[in-house]
Amino acid sequence: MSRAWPVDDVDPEEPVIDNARRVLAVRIAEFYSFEPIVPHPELSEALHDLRISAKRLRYTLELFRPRFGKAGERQIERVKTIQEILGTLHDHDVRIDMIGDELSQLMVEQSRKTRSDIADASPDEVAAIAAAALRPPPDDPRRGLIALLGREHAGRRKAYARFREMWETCAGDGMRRDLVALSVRPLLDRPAKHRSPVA
Amino acid sequence: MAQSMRSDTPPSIAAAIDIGSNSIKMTIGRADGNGGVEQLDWASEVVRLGQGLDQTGLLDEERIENAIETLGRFAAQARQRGATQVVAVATEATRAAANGASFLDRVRVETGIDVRVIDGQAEAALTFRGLTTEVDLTGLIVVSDIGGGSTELIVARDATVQAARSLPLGSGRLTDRFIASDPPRLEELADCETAAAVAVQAVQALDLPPGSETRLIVVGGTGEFMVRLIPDEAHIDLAAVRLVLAKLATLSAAEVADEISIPEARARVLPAGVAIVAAIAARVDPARIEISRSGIRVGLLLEALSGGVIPAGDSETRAGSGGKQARTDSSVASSPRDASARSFRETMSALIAERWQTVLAAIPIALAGTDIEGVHDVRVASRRLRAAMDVAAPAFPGKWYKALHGTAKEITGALGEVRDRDVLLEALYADRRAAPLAEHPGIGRLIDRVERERVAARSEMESYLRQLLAGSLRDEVERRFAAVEAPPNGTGISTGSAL
Repeated sequence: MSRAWPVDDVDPEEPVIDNARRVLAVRIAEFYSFEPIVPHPELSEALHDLRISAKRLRYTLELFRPRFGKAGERQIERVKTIQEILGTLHDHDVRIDMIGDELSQLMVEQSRKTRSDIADASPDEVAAIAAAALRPPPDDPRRGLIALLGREHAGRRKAYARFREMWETCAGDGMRRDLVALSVRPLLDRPAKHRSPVA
Repeated sequence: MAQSMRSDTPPSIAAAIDIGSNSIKMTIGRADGNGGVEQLDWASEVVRLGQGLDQTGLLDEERIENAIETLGRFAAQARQRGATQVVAVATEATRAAANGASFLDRVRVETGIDVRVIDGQAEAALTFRGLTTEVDLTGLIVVSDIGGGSTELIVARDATVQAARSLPLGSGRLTDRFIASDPPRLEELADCETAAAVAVQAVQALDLPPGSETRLIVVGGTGEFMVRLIPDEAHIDLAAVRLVLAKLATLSAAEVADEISIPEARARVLPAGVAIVAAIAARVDPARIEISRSGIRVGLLLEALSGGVIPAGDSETRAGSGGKQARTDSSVASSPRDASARSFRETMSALIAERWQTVLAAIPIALAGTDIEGVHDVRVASRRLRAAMDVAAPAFPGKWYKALHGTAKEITGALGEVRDRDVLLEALYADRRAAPLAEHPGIGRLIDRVERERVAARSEMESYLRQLLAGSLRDEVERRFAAVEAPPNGTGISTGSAL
């Protein structure tokens, strides 16, 4: 997992609103540093890192949400959607790995059993053992695992397609421009005194 | 917060409004000349502003409309009664909702009432302030104010606050989560009481000396309405509370509403509120339980009628030996510094303290294992904590911060191992139900594997969390983050976003 980009110019003694802008600017840059991997569905780990980066960006927006108003809410929704689709994609990746691993273990177990059966078998029984090994019975667990693996891959392809579509839609709608605008707005829009606490 | 209607003369009558998760209530009163309040009029409307908040993170639009209409009506009533000030506070629902700010903007524009959002500590301090004028506070007492979205607990000795805690437990919240039947089933009430008991169990401040003659004072609507179902109001104990619970399991909300003359919507959440009372009483084991109709609005009136500020050093709100002061929000509001100019370090410190408290209060529920969402709740709370700690890291260069930051991350990780498998198992079971029979053995094999991993992960999680609770984490958090002022007002930090 990639580490969060450090925010070097936070000044603890300055007001929150000034630091919010600085943190947001870094999170936006970090998020878009992953743009080159977007067209590569095979880069599972990098897509996962993009998801984590989206999460950091969203949390920053949510943490300072009273400062960003309606424009901020819109960005939170966009980032959240991207993060959630990437989450679905990641879930498929995790399950694909797990099912693949289980399938490998199962095949090793079956292979060992075949070797052990053959070692103990008389020459007349070997052909039957080989036939059974090559034509698994209807309740062989491999069937379920292979079918599941197929469904997971199909689900992953679908999730990736949704992610690409969402990414491109957001890009077309000027999401990056809007985010950058947010990161400079707080300095121009200080709250009036005695506003409501969460305003 | 105070809406001055006539600023050239000192106010003699004031109206205090409390916007809670269940109800909006108003008390109109004036100083009685003896340091107390003479209550002249009151109003209450069940709006259930917090309904569905846990699911959506938002205040429902229709409920916002109702709330604004109610507040407009209350403001008119206050004017008619000659109130020269209207003071209003909003609690858990508004502070937690993502659209809480826009709700308050509309309230200000459409009703002229400027509402102050207060945190749990301020809520507890105001409630206690209100009690000082009407209740005998000598000896050891525990005060519980059960709201729709949160419960405030105060431990005090001889009118001096020893500790104040705000728990994310409320009658509306538990109803949304556990009660689907009307009348509620006994199992549903037991679930409410268990969830409440687990949260209350974690409050160390309730570890009272054995044999102490503690009185439990229940303030707010839950106590007031519960007592109407108890035949002998003079002798309320845990058994009586449990009898009320048993009775509520036989009555529909409409029947309860009819029997004790309250709105049906309020009756619907009463059983969960009584379950919280039972859990607190079981934990405190009080010599007796008392009901007080005083509370936060009287505290607000005292504040308004005495010039708007409860002194920070007031003996009623001074801490005991723990050294931490029960803070009032008014001390923040009256700070010479504009709240928006509060430094980043101060603001984040207060926010992180609050988020740690939420995590620590939720851990026992995850440990109890009675609610699958318990693990999820702690995980979400720990993520929200980490979000704040990530952002605040440059302001706290000490090693201690890194260690606490690491602990927050470990909590998320420990719970994640369990939560991920809970979710995976749910998906696998659904998959197997939909799959042809020939695929069941393979999917079953995977389910067995995940079940085994889940048991191991759960055991590791439990051991880790128990170790955390037994260690000095709570003290360390309080020590490191308590030396700042109350959480921010108007600083632009969200304390309730659904991270």
